Amino acid sequence: MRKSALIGALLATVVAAPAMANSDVAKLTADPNNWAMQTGDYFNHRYSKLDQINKGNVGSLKVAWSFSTGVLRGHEGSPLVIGDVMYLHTPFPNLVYALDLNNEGKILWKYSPKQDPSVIPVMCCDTVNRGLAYAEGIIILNQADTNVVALDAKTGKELWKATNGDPKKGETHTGTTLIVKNNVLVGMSGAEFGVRCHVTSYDLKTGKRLWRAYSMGPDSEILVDPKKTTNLGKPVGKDSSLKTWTGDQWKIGGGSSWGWFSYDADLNLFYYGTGNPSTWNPVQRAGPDGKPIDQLYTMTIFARNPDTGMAKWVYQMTPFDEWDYDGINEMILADIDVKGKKRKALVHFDRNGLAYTMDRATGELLVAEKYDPAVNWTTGVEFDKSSPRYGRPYVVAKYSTFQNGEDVNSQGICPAALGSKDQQPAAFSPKTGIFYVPTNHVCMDYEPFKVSYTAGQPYVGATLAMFPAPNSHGGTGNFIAWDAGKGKIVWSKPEKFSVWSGALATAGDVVFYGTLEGYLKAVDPANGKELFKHKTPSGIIGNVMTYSHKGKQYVGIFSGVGGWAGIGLAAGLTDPSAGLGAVGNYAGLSEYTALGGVLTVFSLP
Amino acid sequence: MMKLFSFMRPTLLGGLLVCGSVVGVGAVDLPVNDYPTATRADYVFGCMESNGRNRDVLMKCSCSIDEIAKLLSFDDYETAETLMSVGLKGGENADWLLHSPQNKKQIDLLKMAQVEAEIICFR
Repeated sequence: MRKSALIGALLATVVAAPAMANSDVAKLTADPNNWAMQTGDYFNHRYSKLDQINKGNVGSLKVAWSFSTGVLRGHEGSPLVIGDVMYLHTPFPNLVYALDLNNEGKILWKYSPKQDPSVIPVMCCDTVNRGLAYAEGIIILNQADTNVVALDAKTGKELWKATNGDPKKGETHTGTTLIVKNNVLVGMSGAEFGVRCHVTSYDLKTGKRLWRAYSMGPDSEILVDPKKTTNLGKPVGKDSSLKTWTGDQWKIGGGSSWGWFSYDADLNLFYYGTGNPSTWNPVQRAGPDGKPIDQLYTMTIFARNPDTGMAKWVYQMTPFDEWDYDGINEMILADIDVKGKKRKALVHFDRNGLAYTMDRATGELLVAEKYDPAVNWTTGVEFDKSSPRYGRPYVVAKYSTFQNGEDVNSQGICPAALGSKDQQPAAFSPKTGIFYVPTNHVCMDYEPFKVSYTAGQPYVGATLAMFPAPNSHGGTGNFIAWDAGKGKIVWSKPEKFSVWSGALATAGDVVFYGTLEGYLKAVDPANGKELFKHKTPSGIIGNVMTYSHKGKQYVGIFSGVGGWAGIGLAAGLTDPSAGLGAVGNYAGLSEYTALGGVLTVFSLP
Repeated sequence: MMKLFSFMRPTLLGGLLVCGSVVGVGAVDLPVNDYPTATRADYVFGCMESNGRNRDVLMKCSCSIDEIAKLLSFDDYETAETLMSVGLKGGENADWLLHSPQNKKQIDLLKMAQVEAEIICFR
């Protein structure tokens, strides 16, 4: 079975290369009974054609079953379902479970990697993992310690393991992987530690490294062609990245690449964004003349060929970052009307508060508009093609942490560093043509200070205070519907807390998302009206998924944030890691909380 | 002190306690609170784990969550609980939750309610 799928894939690659993603993944994601990729499909739609659960009956959803992962801390991503088997991952230590859906979720196998716990302190933002990938009978686990592991999906047996980085330098893995043809595409976290991040391809069958493309550095290492790779329609030219850094700073340049990649088989291009330049103190990154300098290719949308890694086009959203507005958020590919014209578009909700609509074939900038009215650091992006500032945002001086300078507290900047939206992926419904976006409604004060670089130590260099967007509803989140062709909010539903859960849209005219209080919510895509809510055992930062088994549709969501609030209150703790220690002091409590993150699966009664 | 902060989250049997012991204040009144049973049970469980697994402690813990529920709406309780739980997540994005003045205030509300409850129930 596995063999034939494999041969099929190879044949397909040879015969009809342009249309082939990974034929197995393409086939599996086309069947809505599966949830075969973290993002639903290669286009990152997070949309399901299943419609048994619909607008009319979603209100009567009940918990069908649940599964405790046994691991505390933040549970991001979602399970995969392929046929009769569900595959789940956990945060560090990155356990993997295969559950038999024919047999009440019985554990078929469990994989427990041995990882050095010293990786934990070098993970900037909790020990999360955004999930497994599957193709041709192989499960790919992207471990925190940068080992990429291939498991036999039937047995859980390790097939190969490739080491992608060194946690001692601050290199870690948090993202999922994207499998395109025989390429397992792997990103990197660590911009907060001065890592020079990259995307690397490993061969699906052997784990052999095929190519690596850094986010910054010499042309040969970042895989751009000075003549053929374009930036807003023009060739990037020689040393396009090196020229935008002072001295050797590019060697510790950051530019993380752990977001949700997408892929267009017709164009044979995959897309991702890069994170912030290290450090967060812009003064230390200024050009030799003391003026802002772009730090390419941080904060950049990349379109690359998956076979060679070569970049087709690039676009930098936030040149010379002054606020930690990483560009890592997902790239959603959608064929939509943009200003009256049908386009093969790429839509990206950036942390900087602007939603970008690009032509994904050419990299032409079509729309860049604020998707939270609170955004104030910029007055917008220059659209005049004859301007030397074409495609660049205009920075409001008052909110420029660079112009205000080192050791000056720039106040009231919106959005905060966590962005108008972080990694939690939006959903796109081809049925409505609208995007459903979980957002943050948070502003900040930002004070940069001087830091020096030490390998494996945080290289941040700014003190931040964050707070809810002023003069608004008082909460720190919104769940919005966005028209990417017009660049306009269709509706906005206020949330008390930032929405850190990935959305799901379905053909049943329902949009799902989770909240930090732990509610799974279902809303009407037409107006955001709440149709259903149910409290799961803990806060939700995972992504909603759906699948169908034996004719019945299910909706699944991970819950699990930091820990049990009771622990913190019990000991009056402020240090998160101390909280975990406190659990150990009470045997009974440790049993209670050892249930850890929970997958809750819903269905109609 | 240990006892005090022992735990968060509420009780079911608290109802019985109030009915049984506070005679005259409406003998059949259930405590005025909108806390889900699971939330109350969670609190009592944690409270008993740190103060003792016996009947006496069960009554005190139940009393404690009922006092908290009198002082805080479930909405406020849930807000504080969410903040503390996400705060335990660690990392740059969770950090601000613990350090924003507004959020600190929410957490303090709950802690103050707990102190009140301790004075009343754990003397």
